[in-house]
Amino acid sequence: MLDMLPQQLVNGLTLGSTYALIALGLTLVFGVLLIPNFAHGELYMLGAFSTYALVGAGVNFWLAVVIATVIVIALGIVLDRVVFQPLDHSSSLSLMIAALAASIILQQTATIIWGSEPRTTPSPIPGVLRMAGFSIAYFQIFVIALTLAAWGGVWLVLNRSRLGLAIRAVAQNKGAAQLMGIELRDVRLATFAIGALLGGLGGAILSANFPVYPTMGINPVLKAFVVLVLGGIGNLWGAILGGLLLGIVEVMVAGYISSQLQDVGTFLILVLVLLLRPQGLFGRVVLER
Amino acid sequence: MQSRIRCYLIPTALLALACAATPFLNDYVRYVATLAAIWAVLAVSFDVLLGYTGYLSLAHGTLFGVGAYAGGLLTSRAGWNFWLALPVCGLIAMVVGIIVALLAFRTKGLYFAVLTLGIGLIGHQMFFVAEDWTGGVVGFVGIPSPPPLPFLMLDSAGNNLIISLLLLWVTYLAAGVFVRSPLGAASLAIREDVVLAQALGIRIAAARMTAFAFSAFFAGAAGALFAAISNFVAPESFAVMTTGFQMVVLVVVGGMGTLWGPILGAILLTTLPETLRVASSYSLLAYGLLLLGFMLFAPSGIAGLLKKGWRARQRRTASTTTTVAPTVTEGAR
Repeated sequence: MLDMLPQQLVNGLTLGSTYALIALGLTLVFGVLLIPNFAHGELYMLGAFSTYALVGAGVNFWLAVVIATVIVIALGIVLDRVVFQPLDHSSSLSLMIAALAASIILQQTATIIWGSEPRTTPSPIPGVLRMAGFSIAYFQIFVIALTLAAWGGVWLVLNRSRLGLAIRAVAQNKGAAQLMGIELRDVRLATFAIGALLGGLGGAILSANFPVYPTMGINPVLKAFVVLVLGGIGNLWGAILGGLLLGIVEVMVAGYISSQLQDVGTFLILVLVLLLRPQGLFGRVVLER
Repeated sequence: MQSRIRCYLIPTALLALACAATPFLNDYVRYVATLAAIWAVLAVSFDVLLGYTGYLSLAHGTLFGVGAYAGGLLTSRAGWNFWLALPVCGLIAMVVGIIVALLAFRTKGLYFAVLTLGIGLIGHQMFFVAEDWTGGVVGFVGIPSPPPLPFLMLDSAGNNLIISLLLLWVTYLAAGVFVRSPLGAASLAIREDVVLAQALGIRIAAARMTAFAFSAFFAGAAGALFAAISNFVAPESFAVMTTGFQMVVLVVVGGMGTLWGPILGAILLTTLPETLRVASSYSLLAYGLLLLGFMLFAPSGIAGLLKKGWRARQRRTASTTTTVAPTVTEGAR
């Protein structure tokens, strides 16, 4: 049992880094714009399908990732324009229902275009690193590195650029930010674009690691919401640590108890955290929830 | 007096009318109408939660499933009478619903939706895992049909339709009693502003818990009836993104916060795909588009549109006959 532990930890870290990558985009959009974007999972799915289709058409994997990410950013901006902006002054219930509708529409459109059976893209970085206690695919190391790089990139934009200053100002107080001459429309566009970029990039890269199918976004986005609860909303550190923690716990439950109970374990954590520490494990600010 | 006529006599008259029409319909129409009635039961009871308290639950597909499997187990394995099993299944779903609600009501807004979505996904998973009880992927076969109603001499399709209409009638009247009660008023206060309601000393915990329990009870009863009519249930009928999502669509398209709107929504959305004969892969897409369209352009649903049209017409008649208007419109109402 115990000699499996290093391998389980490594598997948990790789799974957790994918959750963290998806949670990063979700936490940004939710933390700044207060939009519960259920459709973030579908942006992830469309990133994966676009990459799959481009690779199938003979495009190099890395080029396909870039094109797919650009497509998803464009889609994300359209999504915001069509679905969320008209509801800007409605209740959060309307926003939630509209997001749910958008997510179903995108899923079903993908089903009609590509069918519902799972597809796979060959990994661009083959090979496995074998160590004494565990082995890890080079591609998985790349995914972990990418997640950390994405986190670093978002941190730099938020904390070391004028745009980031504006985004943080809007997140803190919309009215005051507007009085300081910050253009809400620009901040909104930029935030949504960065969120879509993170989702699309995640999907594009992970299409080489997971099967690609129209409903592939539901589970990760749900896990990402759990990560948000664990980490605290709008908290970048929380998104990374919460994602990794969730991945490790899931792999442990699946490995040592039962693989059928993997998701049950996740929601037990969610329930426990909501009951015991509603501001999140790493959160300091108490938000409306 | 007039409001009592509207809330008790009209539905009863409609029920009598529908029952009288049943012998003249063919089996296919009866089957579609039966499904519409079951969906209407789900929609009306779900609206008591979504439309009156403003809490978006995505766990109700699972509660519907709990009722369905409980109905299957009680009537086929334990040999219970259908009429005893129906309310008991409602109660079982209600108990499960109360446990879900105890957890979920610690949150609100988006977190409530996410938590119930998670619970719905786990519930769906559990229908696969608990193979001994549910039959797992294969499904639960051999659930007995509802027993024939006495004196009516109907074949099974007609019998199913009348039982579903009866359940819808009971659901509608019970929902009417709930929303007119002090708890119903408290629910509306929760929907408008939880913090303010709390500050005013309104007992929000009791009101929202009753609304959740109410919707869970009728979801369970509808599940048991659905199981008996289909003779077979499988986990895919109770997934979050199918059943749970459809309930939201029916209520929003019909009109949140009215009791008759969701019935219209259920009838329209059940009969349209059947009459248009569109492929099932497009129906979920159409549901999504409808939901988004109504949310953006007519958030109060069909009921809201009808009310607006009705008021516009009244204003027009009132303005053309200004002098005698008050008495005429009073009488016409």
